[in-house]
Amino acid sequence: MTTRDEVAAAVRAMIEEGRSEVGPEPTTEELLAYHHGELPPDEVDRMEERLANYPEAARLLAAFTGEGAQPEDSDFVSDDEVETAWRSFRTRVDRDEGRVPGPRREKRGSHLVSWLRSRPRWIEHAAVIAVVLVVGVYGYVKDQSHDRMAAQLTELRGPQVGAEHRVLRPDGPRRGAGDEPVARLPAASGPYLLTLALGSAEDYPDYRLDIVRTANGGPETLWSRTGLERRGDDTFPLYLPEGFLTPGRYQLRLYGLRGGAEALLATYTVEM
Amino acid sequence: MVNERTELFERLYHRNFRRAFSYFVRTGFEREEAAELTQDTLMRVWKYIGNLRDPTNEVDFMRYVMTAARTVRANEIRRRRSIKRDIPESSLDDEVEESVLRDESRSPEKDAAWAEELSSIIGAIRRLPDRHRRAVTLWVYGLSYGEIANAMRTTTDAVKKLISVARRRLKDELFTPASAARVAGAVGDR
Repeated sequence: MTTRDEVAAAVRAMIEEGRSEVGPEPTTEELLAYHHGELPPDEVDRMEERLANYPEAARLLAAFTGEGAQPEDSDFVSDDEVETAWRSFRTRVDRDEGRVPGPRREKRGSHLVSWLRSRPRWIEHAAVIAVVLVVGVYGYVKDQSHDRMAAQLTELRGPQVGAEHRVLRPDGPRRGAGDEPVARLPAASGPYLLTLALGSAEDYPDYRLDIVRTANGGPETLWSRTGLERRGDDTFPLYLPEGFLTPGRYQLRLYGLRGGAEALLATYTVEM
Repeated sequence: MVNERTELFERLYHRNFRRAFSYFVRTGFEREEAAELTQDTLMRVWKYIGNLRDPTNEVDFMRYVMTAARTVRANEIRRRRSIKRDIPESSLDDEVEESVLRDESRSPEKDAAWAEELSSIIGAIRRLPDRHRRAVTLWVYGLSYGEIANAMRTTTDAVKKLISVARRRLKDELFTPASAARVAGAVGDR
């Protein structure tokens, strides 16, 4: 390392330390007040100290209030150069304010924007076609999907015909029937209107029904709903849409709910 | 109304272009960059000229341009930092940092010696009278005699004298005959 570097580093370190003592960088207002001799005497010395610790502010002050650059200086600008700059500025202003159409000024460093502007025209056309296609296909699919859903909703809101009605009795040993599932429902047909018969079980403030898949690796609750209403004939109606249950064995579990407690009242085994 | 605004701005533009351009060049930007940043600065002023209480007041206008120039410069430095380019402002730091990195013979002992040397240099500069210290600090930082004179509200000749005295004192204090060979570049002529 050269000794010049050492001195430069020392000055740099000194400036860094000094900044914490002299406070923030002088504002433009303060600089001009200092330059115009408008600061009180004690502030003048302090400002000089601040400038020694903020050389960039000193440079700003020099550039704006010092003597103009001479032709041999690196920051010298000829009258012609200023005039050219002014014409360029006017063009830019006119363009920005919409008086003269023209390419937008490129922001420095924006490689993406630069690339986009330098791309061949066919890319632009292809991009527009692609966007139109994507939007069109999306719109079409969305419309189709929306129409289908609307039709289904209308159908569901209307009278349902052809629902197969079954009355399900609770599981348990039945005379002559063993433990076989109470109901076998063809999976391909449906929908089903099931009536779950409970019998003379105790009344509960609320009831819950779970539909549990019992085959293939343990029970799995597929659907659950509370707030069921027990009808006067001690039954619970259940509408099972077509295709809701795939082939397999299921158990419908009916619970009575009171406070935080629940009691299993009946199960109904169904095989699709 | 538009023409009036443009005519007024044209006059102020011509008077302030050189100032802003000079500021950017002096703070390390190439001429082309400085020209572009100057245009950015004046465009900024143009957009907000309506906020000026009295646009015909040249001091107010200059103040406005100065503030805009500082903002534009700060933004440009931030932008460059973000894309990891060289930063003119930090050229002094970079040089020092690079020279440290290049020095493959560094060792804890040498680092300790360097820290001690740094401390002695700082101490010597701090012991200078205030005005000598300020002048030599700005001078080592790279400001011209004229810039320093402007910052210290004095003449160029007075600054030269301050710096000359400061250099002599520093040489006397810092550099022993043993280190004479290394002295030349340290506080020698620029």
